[in-house]
Amino acid sequence: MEKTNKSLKKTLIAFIIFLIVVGIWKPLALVYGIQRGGLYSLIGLPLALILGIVGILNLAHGDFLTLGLYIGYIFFNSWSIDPLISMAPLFFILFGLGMVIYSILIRRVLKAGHLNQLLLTFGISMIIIELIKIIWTTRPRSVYTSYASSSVTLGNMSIGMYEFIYPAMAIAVLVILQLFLKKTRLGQAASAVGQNPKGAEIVGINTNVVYLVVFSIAFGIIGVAASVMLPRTPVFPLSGNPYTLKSFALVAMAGLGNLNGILIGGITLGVAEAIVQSIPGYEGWSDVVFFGILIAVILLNAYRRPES
Amino acid sequence: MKKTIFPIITILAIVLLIFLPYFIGAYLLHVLMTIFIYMTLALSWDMMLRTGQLSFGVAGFFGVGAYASIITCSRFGFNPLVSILFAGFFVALIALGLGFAVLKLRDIYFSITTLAITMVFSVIIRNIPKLTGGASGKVIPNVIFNGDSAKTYWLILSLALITILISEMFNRTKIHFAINSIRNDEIIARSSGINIFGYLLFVFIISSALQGIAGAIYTQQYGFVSPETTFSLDFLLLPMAMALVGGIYSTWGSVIGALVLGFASEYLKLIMPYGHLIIYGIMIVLIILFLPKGIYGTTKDKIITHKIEKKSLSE
Amino acid sequence: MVILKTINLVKRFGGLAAVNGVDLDINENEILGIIGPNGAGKTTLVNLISGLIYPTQGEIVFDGINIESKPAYIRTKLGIARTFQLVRPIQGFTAFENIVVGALFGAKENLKQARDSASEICDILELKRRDFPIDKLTVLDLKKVEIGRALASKPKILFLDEVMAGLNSDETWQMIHLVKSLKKRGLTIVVIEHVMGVIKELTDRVIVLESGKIISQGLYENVCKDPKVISAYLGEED
Ligand SMILES: Nc1ncnc2c1ncn2[C@@H]1O[C@H](COP(=O)(O)OP(=O)(O)OP(=O)(O)O)[C@@H](O)[C@H]1O
Ligand SMILES: [Mg+2]
Repeated sequence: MEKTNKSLKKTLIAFIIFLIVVGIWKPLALVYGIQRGGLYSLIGLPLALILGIVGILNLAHGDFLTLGLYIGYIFFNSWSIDPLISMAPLFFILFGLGMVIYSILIRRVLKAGHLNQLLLTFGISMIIIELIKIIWTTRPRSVYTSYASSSVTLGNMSIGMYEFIYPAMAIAVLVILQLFLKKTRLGQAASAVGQNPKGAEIVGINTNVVYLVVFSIAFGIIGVAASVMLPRTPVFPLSGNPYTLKSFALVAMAGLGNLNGILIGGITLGVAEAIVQSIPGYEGWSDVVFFGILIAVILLNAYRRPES
Repeated sequence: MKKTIFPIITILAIVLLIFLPYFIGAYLLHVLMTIFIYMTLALSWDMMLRTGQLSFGVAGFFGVGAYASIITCSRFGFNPLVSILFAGFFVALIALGLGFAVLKLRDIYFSITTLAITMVFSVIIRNIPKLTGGASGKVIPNVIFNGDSAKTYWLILSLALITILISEMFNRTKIHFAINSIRNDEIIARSSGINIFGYLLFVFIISSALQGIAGAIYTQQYGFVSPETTFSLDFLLLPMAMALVGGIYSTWGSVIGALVLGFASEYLKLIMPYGHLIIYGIMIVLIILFLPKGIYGTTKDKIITHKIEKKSLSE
Repeated sequence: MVILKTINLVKRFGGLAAVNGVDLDINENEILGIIGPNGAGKTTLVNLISGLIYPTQGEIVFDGINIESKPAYIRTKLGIARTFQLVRPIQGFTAFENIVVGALFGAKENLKQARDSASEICDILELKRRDFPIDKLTVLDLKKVEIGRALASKPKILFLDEVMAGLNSDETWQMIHLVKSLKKRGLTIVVIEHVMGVIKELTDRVIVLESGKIISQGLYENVCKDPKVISAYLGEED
C-alpha cells in the first residue's frame, strides 16, 4: 500500500515537471496537448472500466463512439438539438445499447477465453462500421455551433476555447466514477469483482449484474464523449475507430484498474503528440508517438514482470 | 482405400486448377485469384493462431511486402518476380527482428501490439514520400507479366499451393505436436522439452513471409500501392473471417472458408455495393457465438465422437 | 554417486522464502522421498530443479554441470523429468499423443521413433484407452499419461509430485509397483507424498522439508522418530 502511494507520488511529480518543462519550451503545444489529452482520457475511461472490471477488451470501442457521433448528429440535424443538450439522451441511449450488447453478445463469451473475446468484438466493430456506411454512406458530416469556434488571442497565439471542455469533462467523469466505485454498494462490488472475480462470487456478489451495470455505464460515458466532441469533429464511418487503440495505449500505460492513471497518461500522450506536431515537417509522425509509446510500454511491462 | 483415394483426388484437383485458365472466363479467373490471395492470408494467420497467438499484423506484413516489391521494382529495376521474392525475405527479416520483442507477449498484449505495429508501418510509409510516394501512393508503369492473366493466375496458384503444403507440414510433423502443446499449456510444453520461443519465432517468420509475398504479388497484379488501400484492415478481417467460418487450426478449414466466403462476397458485391463487408462481421460474430470450430472443425469433431462412441460400445 | 545436487538453494516470493537454503544430494538409482506439511516448499523445490522458476540464490548441479540458469526445456533434454501435482494433460491430444510429445522433444526422437517409444511406454504403464481424447479418461489414466509423458523424455531422474493423491488403494498399489519397476530400469526417482504408507513402502531415504528448510533426513524409520519432524506435523494439525 505504502509502496503504491510512493510510486504514485513519484509519477505525479514527474508528470508535473514534464508539463512545466513543456510549458516553458512550447506553451502552445502544452495547451493543445492538455486539450487533446483530456479528450483521449475521456474516451479512454470507459474502455479502461470495461477492461478492468469485466475483463473484456472491447475492440469496437471507437466504433460505438462513431455511432454516438451519428446519433448526436441526428439530434442536431433533425431536431436542432444542441450536442451539449443531447448529451443526456445520448448517455441513456448508449447506456441501453450497452445493456443490449452485453446481454446478447458479451455475456456469452465471458468464459470463452481472450481469443474469442477479441474476435467477437472485432467482428462487432466491423458490423458497426459497415452498418454506418450502409445507412449514412461515407460522406463526412459535421455539426456547426457558434460557441465551438470561439478563441482567445494571447500575444501571437490563438487558442481555441471550446476544447477546454475535454479535460474538464474528463476530470468530472473521473471524479463521479471514483465516487461511484468507492461510495456506492454497487460500485464497491464492482471494484471487488475487478480485483478478484472468483472471490467476489464466493462472497455472494452477483457478477453478472455488476458486469451488466459496468458495461452499460461505460457505454453511457462513450455517449457523453461523443456529444462533447461532436461540435469539433467531422463525422464519418471511421471517426471513432482510431480511438480504440489510443484508449488501449492509455490503459497499458496506466495499468489495469488505475483510472487516475488514464488521465495522467492521456495528457502525457496528448502533449507528446502536440510537441511532435509543432515541429515543422514532422506533423505526420505524431501517430508514431502514440503507437510507439504503446508498443514500448507493453514491452517494458512484459520484460519487467517477473516469471509467474 | 481412403489412403489411396486421397492423393489421387489431390493430384486431379491440382491438374484441374492448373488448366483452369483454358476453360473459364476472365471474370471467374479474376475471382479465383483474389480468393487464392485471401486463402494464403487466412492460412498464414491460422498458422500463428495454432500456437495460441492471435495476430492482428496480417495487413501490416501484407502492406510491407507490397511496398518492398513495388519500390525495388520501380527504383532499383528488380525483375518483378525477384522483387516478390525479395519482399518475402525482407518481411521475414522484419518478423525476425520484431519477433524477439513481441513473441514474449501473450494474449491481448500480443494482439494489440501486432495491431499497433501495423499502424506504425503505415505511418512510416506515409511519411517517407521520397521512397513510397507518401499518402498518394505509387504506380508502376507495367503490371506483372504485362497483364497476362493466365500467368498471374499460375503465380498466385503456386503461392496458395505452397502455403497449403506448408500448413499441412505444420499439421503432420513434429511441429504440430510442438505448437499444439504450446497453445494448450506452455508449462507442460516447456517441461516436455519444447523450445517455445524457437517454435514461435519460426512460425511467426514463415507466416509473415507468406503474408509479405501475398502482398507483393497482389500489388504487382494491380501495379499500385497507397497507404489507405495497401494497409487496409480488409486484408486482416477477410482472412480471419474465412479461417473462422471454415474452421481454425486446420488447413482445410481455411481453404473451405476462403472458397465459401470468397464466392459469397463476389455475389454480395453485385447486389450490395456499399457495406457488403458487414456480412464478414456478422459471420465472425455468429461463428464465435454458435460454431467456434467452424464448418470443417465441427464436422470432423462429429466424426471423431462417433468413432469413439462405437469403440466404447464394442469394449 | 550423486546425480543431482543443490547448494544453498533459495527461492523468495516477495517476502516469503518458499525454499530457504536447501542443500540436497540425490544418489543415482535411489528412490528419495520428500515429505513435509502443506506449503513446506516441496513443489517449489521441484519447480526450481525442473527449471519452471529460477532460484533467487544458490546452485543446482546435475551430472556434473551447473543448470540453475538453463531454461526448463534444456533441462528436460538433459534428463530431468517431472509430473505435476494437478495433472496437466494437453487438451486436444489423445493419451497416446500426450506421451508422444515427451518422446519427440524431451528425447529428441523423430516421429516414428517417438510413436514406437510411446506405445512401449503405454504397455509398461498398462494404459488401455490410449486413443481417447483426454476428457474421456479416468483419474488413474490421467496420472499414467502424466508419468508417461515424463518417461517418454528418457530421463535420468524423475520427480513424481503427489502422483498417488486421489487414487484408491488398489490403484495406489499399482502405482507403487510401477515406481519400483522404474527403479529397476535404472532410473533415479524422487517421490513427494503425503501418505506415509507409500513413503515407507517405496523409499530408500527420506528428507523432511518445513518452511523451505530440510529439518531431517535419513531412513524412514529414523526420520519418523525425529522430534523435530513430529512437532512439524503436530504444529500443522492445530
Ligand atoms: N508462484 C508463487 N508465488 C507466490 N508464492 C508461491 C508461489 N508458489 C508457491 N508459493 C508459496 O510458497 C510456499 C510453498 O509452496 P509449495 O507449493 O512449494 O508447497 P508444497 O510443499 O508443495 O505444499 P503442498 O503439500 O500443499 O503441495 C507456499 O506458501 C506457497 O503459497
Ligand atoms: Mg506441492
